[in-house]
Amino acid sequence: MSDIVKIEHARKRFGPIVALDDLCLELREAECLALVGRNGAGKTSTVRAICGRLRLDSGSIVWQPGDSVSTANCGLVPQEIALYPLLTAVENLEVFGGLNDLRGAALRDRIDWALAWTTLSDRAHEPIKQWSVGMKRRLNIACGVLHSPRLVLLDEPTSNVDPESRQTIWEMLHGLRDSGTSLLLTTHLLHEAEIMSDRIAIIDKGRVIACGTLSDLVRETLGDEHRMILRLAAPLREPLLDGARSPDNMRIDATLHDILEQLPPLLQKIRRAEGKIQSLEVGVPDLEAVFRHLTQSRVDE
Amino acid sequence: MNAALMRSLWLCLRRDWLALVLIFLLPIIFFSVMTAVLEQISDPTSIATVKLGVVDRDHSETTRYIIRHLQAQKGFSVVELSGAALIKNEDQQERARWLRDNHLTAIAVFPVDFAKSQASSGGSTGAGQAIELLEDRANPIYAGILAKMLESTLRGLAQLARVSAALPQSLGVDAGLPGTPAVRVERLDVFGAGFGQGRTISVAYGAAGNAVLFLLFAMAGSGATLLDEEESGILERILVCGVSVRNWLLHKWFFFALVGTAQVTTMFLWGALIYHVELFKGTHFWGFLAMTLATALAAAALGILLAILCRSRTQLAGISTVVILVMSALGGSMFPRFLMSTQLKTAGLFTFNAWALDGYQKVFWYESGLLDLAPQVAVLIGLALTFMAVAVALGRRRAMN
Repeated sequence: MSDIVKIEHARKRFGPIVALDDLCLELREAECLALVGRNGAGKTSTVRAICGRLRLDSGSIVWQPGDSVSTANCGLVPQEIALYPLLTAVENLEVFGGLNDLRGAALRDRIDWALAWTTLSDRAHEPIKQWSVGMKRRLNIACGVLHSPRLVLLDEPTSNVDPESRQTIWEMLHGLRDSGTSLLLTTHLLHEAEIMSDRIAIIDKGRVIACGTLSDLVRETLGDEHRMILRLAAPLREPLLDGARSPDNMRIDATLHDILEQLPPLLQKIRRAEGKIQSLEVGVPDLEAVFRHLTQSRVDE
Repeated sequence: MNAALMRSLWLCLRRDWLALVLIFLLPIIFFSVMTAVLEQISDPTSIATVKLGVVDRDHSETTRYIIRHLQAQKGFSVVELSGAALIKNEDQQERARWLRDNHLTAIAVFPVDFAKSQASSGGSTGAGQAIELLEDRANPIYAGILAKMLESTLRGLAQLARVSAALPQSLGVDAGLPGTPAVRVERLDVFGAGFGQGRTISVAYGAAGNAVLFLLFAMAGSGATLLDEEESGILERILVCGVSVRNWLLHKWFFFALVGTAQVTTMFLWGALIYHVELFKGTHFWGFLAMTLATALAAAALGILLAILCRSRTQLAGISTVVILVMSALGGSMFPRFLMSTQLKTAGLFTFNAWALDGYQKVFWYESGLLDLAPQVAVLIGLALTFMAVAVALGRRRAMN
């Protein structure tokens, strides 16, 4: 897959705050890249830089040869619900389609597609003011992709939505990616990044500190480690494992470097302490473990 | 012209019934109320009647004459009170009760031997016994007017008595009991015949003043939509669609100016329909249109500039209210400029209200042609362009950060 756009050594300061610090990233055709990081890590600044809304202090945004940032190849779905609340769904789509140079039959066709895609056809002619957040989020996304851009920049697209709506949005975005559209998704929901993306870029303090598939990231950062989650029926008097996270001494979350070496003594220790195991999960570390390892900080959802 | 952008502005306005009421209906209601009040003030016959109690302790021909004269005056409702009651109870509390219970503005008490003392003074004002005027100071204006009217009546009567005494009896004027006043004042209105009629002129001035005031408020309110679009991310989306900050602001400006023009035109149409403002007489309409377009462009540009300068709706509401009220007070929207001091008039020229109102006055009062409006239109357009240039520069800087 070739790169659709490359960010090269982007730097941007807002007064004393460094938003982007030598940030490098490339987005490939027909992939979903998740940009994860804490609040203020530089995710939104990256999105704004790509769509030409942020003047970089230095560095550059390089599009595929022959391309530049334009309405034809870039669609933005802002973090806010950027819709006119007094207008109906169709009117909002007409306005933003019109702003993206869609006219007449082409516009009508795309509006029909968008309403079907978002499953909002039955509410098409209602002012959106009274809609649920989930419905508004879906329409918010539809307005950004109506003109069939090659790259869609989604800034926290599932913020404040219920799990059911989130699932619907994920399905919408999977469909979009499968149709060949490149997606850049910023999120602080690590689970969302795992489910949605082909590659994940972890950004911290304006810099990409790791980028790759989930398995790449795990291998590169944690090697062959496994994550163990052990739940006890009652708390033990003393800690079971050095370095494990267990605020209540009942749920132990630990990284095991060698399962065969480390797990049997741990189980023996629980037996000696007359502890009762409720559940035990051992698996490959998830993105949260990688993220924690890299940023030395837990991200609270 | 970006049709989609204009359509979004139009749809948002059309759906916002409260904004429509504030822009189109509220100014008409306010204008109607103000016109009704101003008409009452400018028409002496319609001023609420001053209720005057009279106690005649003299019972002379002179006092009877004065009382009849006061009763004949428009705007006075003279009630004769029994003197005995006040003679018996002259303490402060009792007088206050009299005023309050009879709903009187004042009570004029003619003392005993009032006529004799006036005669012995030889008609010179102020030399005889005084009329005692018991006032209710709760209405200081009416009480003051009443005192002046009484003084004026007495002075007039004294002069009339002197003139009558010098005239032959054959002219039918009795020196002791004057009949029809011998002196008639002829008033001449320089801008009467051939020029706008006084009533509609005052209404037109009121309409213009109110129109500019409400136009400013409407434009400041419209300017707030810029902040809404920025805050909601709509601006970000619009700019990503390839619309520049300059284009976005110019579309807003053009649309707001159209709405402002519609607002002012609605108010003047109302004035023409109900208050007979001569909107369609001669070249009035074209002059009105030129002034309204120029004023609306300037007001819209100011609204946009204020919005760009502010970071939130709260800031905008506070700052725009102060700016609009100060400009309107100095510029003549709230208080006619011709009643202001020279210094205030000069200060008013720094507001575009003053230029707008001068222009409307030229159209409806001085019957000026379109060319005569050039200075006012030029200043307003110049201000509009300046405001917009600053707004675009600041807007660009703000949008790219």
